[in-house]
Amino acid sequence: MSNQFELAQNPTDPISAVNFAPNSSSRLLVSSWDRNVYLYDVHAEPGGKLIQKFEHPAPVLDVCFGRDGNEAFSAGMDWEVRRIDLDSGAQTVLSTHSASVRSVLYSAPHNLLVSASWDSTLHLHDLSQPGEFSTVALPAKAFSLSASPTKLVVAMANRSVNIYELDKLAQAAKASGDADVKPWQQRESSMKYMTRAVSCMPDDAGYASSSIEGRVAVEWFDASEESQARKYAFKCHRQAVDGQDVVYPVNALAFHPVHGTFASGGGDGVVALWDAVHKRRIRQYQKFPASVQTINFSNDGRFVAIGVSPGFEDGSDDVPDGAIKVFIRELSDTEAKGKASKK
Amino acid sequence: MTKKRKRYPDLQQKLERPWCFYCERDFDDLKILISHQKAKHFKCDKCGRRLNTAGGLNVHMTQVHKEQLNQVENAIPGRGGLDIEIFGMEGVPPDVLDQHNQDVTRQHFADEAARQAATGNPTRGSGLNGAKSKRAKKNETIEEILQRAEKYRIDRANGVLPPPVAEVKLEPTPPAVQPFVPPPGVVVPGAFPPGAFPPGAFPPVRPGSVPGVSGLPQRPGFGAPPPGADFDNSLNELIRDAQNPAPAASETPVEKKNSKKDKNIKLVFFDESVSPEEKMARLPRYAEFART
Repeated sequence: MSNQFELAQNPTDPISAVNFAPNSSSRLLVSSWDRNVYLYDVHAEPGGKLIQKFEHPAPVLDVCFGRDGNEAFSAGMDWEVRRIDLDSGAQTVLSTHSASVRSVLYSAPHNLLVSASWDSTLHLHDLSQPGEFSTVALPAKAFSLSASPTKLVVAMANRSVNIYELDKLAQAAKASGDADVKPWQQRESSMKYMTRAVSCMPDDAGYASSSIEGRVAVEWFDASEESQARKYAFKCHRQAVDGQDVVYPVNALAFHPVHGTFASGGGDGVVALWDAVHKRRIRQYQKFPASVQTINFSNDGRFVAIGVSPGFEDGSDDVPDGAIKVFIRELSDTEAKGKASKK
Repeated sequence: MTKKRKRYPDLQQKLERPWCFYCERDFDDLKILISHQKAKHFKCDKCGRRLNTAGGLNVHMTQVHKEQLNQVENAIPGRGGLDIEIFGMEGVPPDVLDQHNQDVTRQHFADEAARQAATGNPTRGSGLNGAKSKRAKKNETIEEILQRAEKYRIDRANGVLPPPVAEVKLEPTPPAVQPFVPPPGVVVPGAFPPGAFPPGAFPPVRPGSVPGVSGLPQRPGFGAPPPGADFDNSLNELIRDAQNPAPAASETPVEKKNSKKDKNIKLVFFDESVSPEEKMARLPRYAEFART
């Protein structure tokens, strides 16, 4: 399809995250295991233009934009949470975990930066007080982080999921040191296997989570019984090969900011769009050349960036060779719309 | 009311179903197939217009949106080409059609075999002209049936039939047989007239009882366990045989279900608590940069 293209200058090692700027659909950040963060202008020229590369001392596991398109935060295997000034390229270390940092997330309404690490802590940075941060202890290693307008969902090892209220976290961030923030809700994943990714609905109603065993669960924040009865999970990203079901991990989940539908990306290289409310698959795209690692919609929902790179498979000694590419797809008006919402 | 038996379509019906060249899905009816193709494969993702063919969509894309269509959407790998003009079932290349028919046939027999293994039911048609059922069907006239019924009554009256065998065998006392004595006057065929006992055969202690006749099988209860025991054993065996396969049969499907759940799945990545990224981070090429 002509409304999809790949970036011309791609990282050399697997891609860990892609993220569009909060205020434009042309600036895109990509973090990679090749120890760089890349900033692209995806529409400047065909194939996108690489504006700048920001080198890190260790593989970068996540990156996100800050208050505007000129500020970014990164996290990686150097244990540090960094702020990057995208104009000057200057990097400042905001805090240091005691293990690799898996995710960073910026919540604009609360001016709060949250980082989650394999050392089983969250660091909360109130950006109006530079240099200060507070620590929240988690029950297990953090694997994925997502925020809705008022909630923060942390998916962890041992299938635990904590949901925090961002208001409380923002308050706790004002006082540095160990913050004793109780999770608003503590849940166990409704899936049997390790949680891989989590993504919150933009309308604050709930979240979707995915597991390494080709499954996606949709749950609601509302703890009432009737809301909890609505939660469900479904199988996806599987392939029948010679009568055997090959099950891929669902690496990426992303909600569409306008339509409230969501995309899932799996180790099979497939991206599918789902309507969480009507429990329908809207569409499934042509297979990508390698495992889909990360998906992000632009702020206006017109574009979707898909980070494709060979994923780590169990039993292999190294990451298999394969395409490492970022695909940008322009969505038509109705492409990501749920079926019933058409009327 | 009895449960309605599920009808499985036969091979011919399956082969006749229209199916979609692009995604191998089959449909009840050609109209549905065509509307499926328009909605899934020939729909313009810019304006949502449904075209009739891939070529039509291509023309539409070039003329209206000034874009080139490279592939049919939602097609399985290798089928998304624009060089083949498909409309419903028209235009499907013969080799693909052949392949599909073969697949359907193979699937049909595999399904049938699986169903047979799971339910133990005979396959369709085998009850009539296929494999012979265990018991041959008997064709008899009313007279023959009546004759058989008469014989049964007589045999029963003579104590030939097995009903009380089990008890009798344990308790070979004569009184148990007393009820079988025919009323006086009724002459059992082949029996000697009362009083005319063959000398020395039986002591005349039990007058009125039917004497043992050499032509008839030994009556039970006359201290003659062997035939009863034989029968008993064979009966027990039958019961055992009948019981044994039954639990075995009910066990196998359960196992099969499990294996379907467990065996037939291959997880690309599996670990209880170490994520793919953590494993990747341990690779030498990345670990050398990791802070420790």
